[in-house]
Amino acid sequence: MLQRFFRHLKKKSHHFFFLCVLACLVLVTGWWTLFIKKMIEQSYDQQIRYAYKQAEVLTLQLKLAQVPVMPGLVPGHKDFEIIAQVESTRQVGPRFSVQPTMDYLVSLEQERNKRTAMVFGEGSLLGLSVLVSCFMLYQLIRLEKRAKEELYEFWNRVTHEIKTPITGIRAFLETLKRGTLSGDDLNYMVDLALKQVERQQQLTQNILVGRQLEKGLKQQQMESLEIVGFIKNYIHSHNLQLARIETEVDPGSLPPETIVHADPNSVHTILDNLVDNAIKYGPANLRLQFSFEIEDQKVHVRVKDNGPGFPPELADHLFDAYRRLAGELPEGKHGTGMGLHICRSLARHMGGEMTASSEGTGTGATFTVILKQEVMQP
Amino acid sequence: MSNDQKRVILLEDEELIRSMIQINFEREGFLVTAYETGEELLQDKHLAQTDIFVLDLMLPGISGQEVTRRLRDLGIQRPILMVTAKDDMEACVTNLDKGVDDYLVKPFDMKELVARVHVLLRRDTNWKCPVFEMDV
Repeated sequence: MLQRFFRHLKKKSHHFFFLCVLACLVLVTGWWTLFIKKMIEQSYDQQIRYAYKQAEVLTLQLKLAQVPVMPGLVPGHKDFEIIAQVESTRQVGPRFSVQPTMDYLVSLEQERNKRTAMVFGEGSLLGLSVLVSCFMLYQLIRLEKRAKEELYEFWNRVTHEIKTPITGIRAFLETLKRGTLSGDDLNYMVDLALKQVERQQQLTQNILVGRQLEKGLKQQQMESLEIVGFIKNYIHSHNLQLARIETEVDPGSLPPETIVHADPNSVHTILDNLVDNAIKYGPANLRLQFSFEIEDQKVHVRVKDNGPGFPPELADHLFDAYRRLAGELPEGKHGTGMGLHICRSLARHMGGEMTASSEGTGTGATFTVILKQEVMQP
Repeated sequence: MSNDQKRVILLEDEELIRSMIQINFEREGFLVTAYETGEELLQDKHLAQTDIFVLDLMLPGISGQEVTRRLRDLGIQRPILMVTAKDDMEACVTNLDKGVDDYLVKPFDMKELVARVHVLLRRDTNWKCPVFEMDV
């Protein structure tokens, strides 16, 4: 129990750390504000005392000068006034005293109030900026921690995706060596093993392309591609994989022989990933419709499937790197979560774009690859 | 089914691995029932008569870990061998904590898997339910 508590505390240690730092900073800011306020009070008291001392000195000076004085402001001192005193039999000489004027005392108090307000204002501002800075730092660390966790999960998925086909193929070869397999069973298992090899090949390709894109090393050989023909060829050459998929290519309003400026390998990788995802998530009677459209000299290649679809608000998150939408997409399907991210990056590298849309869960999904149209010079 | 024939429930979502394990187990004389998902496995009417469970960890739907928990909740104390691609110590310890009896990391040698199943079955056969006597 205690061990679990400490393990939990260790996991959430950044929360605890930030709470402590925040509390310390707030305490320091509060203490500093009160300290400055106390200094202002002391300074005000000193000013008041000094004013009365100065008044005493002026009284003495005037009395010693033995000049006739009238009640009113002391000549040359606008902050002090002469006040006539009530006659007293004991007092000798002129009967008056000098006092700081009420305006002067009020101005001193106003000055004190102003400085106090300023200190509290500055203190609050400092406190607020400390809070904001701490919150931002906390968010930054939280994001970094989450990114680390996502990366860890990503490599877990990659490990799973690498090890699973190897395990299957190894088990198959071991069983084959023992002579247990024969006839139709053998043929069926060979097909399964080949599918595992294809899966491994796709994964290796994605990891390599992903790394190249990340490091900015991806070289694309841009060519002129007749896009409809290219996709028809792709479907034809991947007959084995697409055997159980009903495909339809609809050029729509696309002029015949429409050419796009694209890298054939990248387009190939994008199609591989889209078809792989459709197979992974789609139903047994999977249907893929390829349609085309031209908009502002860009060719939109749409791949529509009859798979499970996704909530429309997740459309953009599908392309997040190293992330699979756990709980938001059909559960338990294996994969690394890097396929669509790579597709979009490749499309963007070719000067295009990639988007996804769906009307909701159970309505299928449409992935659109936008490629630059190559306009032939007359 | 003879009385000595051991009943094995296998849970693995990858068809090739599932088929290969099933073929090799049957060759060893086990009676194997293979499932693709945990939900299907939990619907089995003969869980209590099963001698050993071989489960994959990462599965579609509920995970092998969750299946283990539900089996233990049902009071099934038969050995569970977990097969997984995760090879970090933390995952291993967590699974053993959750009621798994043994742990095998992919890719594994088929002979090792068979040997481990034999060991777990032998250990389970030797295990006797403790009897406590008390005066009333």
